[in-house]
Amino acid sequence: MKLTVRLLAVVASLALAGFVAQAQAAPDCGENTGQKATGKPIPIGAVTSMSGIGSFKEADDAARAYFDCVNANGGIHGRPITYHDEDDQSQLDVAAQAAKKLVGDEGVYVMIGSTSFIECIPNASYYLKENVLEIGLGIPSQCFQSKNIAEVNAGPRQSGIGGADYARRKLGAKTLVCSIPKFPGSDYSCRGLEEWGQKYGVKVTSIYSDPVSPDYSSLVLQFLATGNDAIMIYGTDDTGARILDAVEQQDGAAKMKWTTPTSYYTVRFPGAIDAKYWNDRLWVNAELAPLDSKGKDNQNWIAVMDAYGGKALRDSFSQAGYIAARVAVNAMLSIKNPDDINRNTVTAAIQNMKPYDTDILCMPWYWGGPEATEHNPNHVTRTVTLHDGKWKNLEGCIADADPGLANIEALEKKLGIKINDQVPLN
Amino acid sequence: MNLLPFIVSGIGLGAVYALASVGLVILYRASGTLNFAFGAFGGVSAFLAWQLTQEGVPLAISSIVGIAASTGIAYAYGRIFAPRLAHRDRVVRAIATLGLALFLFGGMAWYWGVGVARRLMLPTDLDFVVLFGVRLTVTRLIALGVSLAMVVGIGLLLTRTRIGLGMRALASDRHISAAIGVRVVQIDSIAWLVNGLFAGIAGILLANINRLDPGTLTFLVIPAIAAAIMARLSSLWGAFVGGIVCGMIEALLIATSPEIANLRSAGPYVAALIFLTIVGAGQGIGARE
Repeated sequence: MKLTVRLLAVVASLALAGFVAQAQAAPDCGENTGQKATGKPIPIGAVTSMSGIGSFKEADDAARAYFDCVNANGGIHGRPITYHDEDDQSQLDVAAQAAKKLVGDEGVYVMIGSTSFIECIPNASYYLKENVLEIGLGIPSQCFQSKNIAEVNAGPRQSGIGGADYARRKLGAKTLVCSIPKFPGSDYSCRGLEEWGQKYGVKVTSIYSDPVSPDYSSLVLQFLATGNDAIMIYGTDDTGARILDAVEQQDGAAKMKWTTPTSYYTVRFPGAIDAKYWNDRLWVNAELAPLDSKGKDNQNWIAVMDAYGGKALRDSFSQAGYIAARVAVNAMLSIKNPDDINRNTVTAAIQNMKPYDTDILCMPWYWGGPEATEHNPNHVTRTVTLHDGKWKNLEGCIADADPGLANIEALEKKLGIKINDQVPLN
Repeated sequence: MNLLPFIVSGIGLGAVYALASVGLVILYRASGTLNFAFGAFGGVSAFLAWQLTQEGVPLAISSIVGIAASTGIAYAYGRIFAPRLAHRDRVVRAIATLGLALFLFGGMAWYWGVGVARRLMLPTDLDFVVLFGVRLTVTRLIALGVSLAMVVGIGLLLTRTRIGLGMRALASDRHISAAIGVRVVQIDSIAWLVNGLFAGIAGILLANINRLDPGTLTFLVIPAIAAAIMARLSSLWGAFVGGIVCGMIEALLIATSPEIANLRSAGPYVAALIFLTIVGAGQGIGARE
């Protein structure tokens, strides 16, 4: 009898331990029914740069992982989501064709996770005409100044201003270079820094580089020849790492303060440069919470990616793709009758959504109503640095000092949206 | 603006172009094939070497394995596919190598991914010499040295050995060469093997100097073609000098107006066009070689 009781106790303990472990790992997705959705599919699309100037597939991968998780947990009132993403090859005409294929031919209800160098330029007016909304990550001005597009990322303009303003406030920079590869719409970022510089008394010199040239050494010599105090180097973490190699070869860190936007804030970046040389000498703006943040929503992103993300890279873009997908799912779930879910109702649901409070961002993500003509819900960012080969938080949530945000800030005041920093500095 | 630093920087870039352009001319001289897959061979070598270093294998052994792989692939192509295309036009043979380049590029992109930040570090990266205030790393000097060694080595092979004689005969006329007893398949295979060997060495250096990225390494041969064309695809010394000149032009264009600096990657092609227009269709750098 004693043995039986012990055995039962052991089995019960093991079962409880397994349950707890499962409960910890189980992601929170949609209605969490545990039942696979089998109804009429809900088509959702994305146009993303997967080749050309660079590859940004991580947001799509995260959106797909979250949708898969939702589909395994009841879908949207029983209807599963089908997700189609297209490569725009970083080319305007290909991006336009991809959007027409998704919106026109496949009839997607909403665009989620699109992450592109140029996609917003040809497609912003098309989405408006077709009453399709897009939530993703963007670079050019059309991604932030269009009625039907709202991004999860702050955007390179905001991220650049965030990093540059840190250099002004904390590193004493009075002159600054804005360096960005030349491609359609890239001037939006450096123009932002020039406007910021005029307001805060920092002389900004913009340098547009040839994105195809492999000659990073000459580019670095050009930076150093300006004699400026600091620099904001735009680009992907891949090309950025090679530029920083060329900086190291010229010992440029001793001559200028080097700042970057959030695109450098990836898990793989510290291993791609000489972390010893760059120790406490590189200041990186971070648009989203640290990747290892213990915040509830960030932990759910990790759980979703672990369960459904496969080998997809876990970086800031991935976090943003998860948020975009989650916002869309929450909005669609607010439509009570599944038969009523279509493009028009999804558009209305997102436009009228309640602000989505998440610890991954410095403030709740919101659309701002059907009348909002521009969107930049994420414009409060952090600063991190490389320390002992790892990312270290230097500064928590600070509102970007962009003079162009007046309308956005007025809308937020009206909606009562405030900074909500939920991540302590480490 | 002081241009001397950009000239020095251009020599460093020129070392990259010289490696690739000499590699292109080598096979053209040896078998009459313009090998667009030179960069892709180098890419395979560099990626394998990097992957092995990530697994903890010493760099020297990793590099040998990478170079052996690129040599093996090139030899296999020279043994299996090149003989079947031997009777076709030179353009067809060149396009076939483009197909091979795209196949290898696809394989690398699929397995290692594109646009991924990674670094193939060499011990020579931290040592440098200073010229006009610009640091030139020892790795770049090695790249220059390897280019020169390729020029001298292949030059000697072509002019001083029976295999070299066979290669020159093949490049000149395959049918007559076969008729007079040149062992076409064997000579062709050796030419490809040597090309794969050089591509493997060049790939590791290029991945370090430039980027360890499938697209970058595969298509780095494209600007190098400008240098090779300056040398009329025949002079090894011309290809070397052409590579250095193209690098210097691209570097110096950054010191011009911002509009031109944005398009400086086109510099080598424009230079090749102007050069051939002025010098004439029958001439080129090292044309008397």
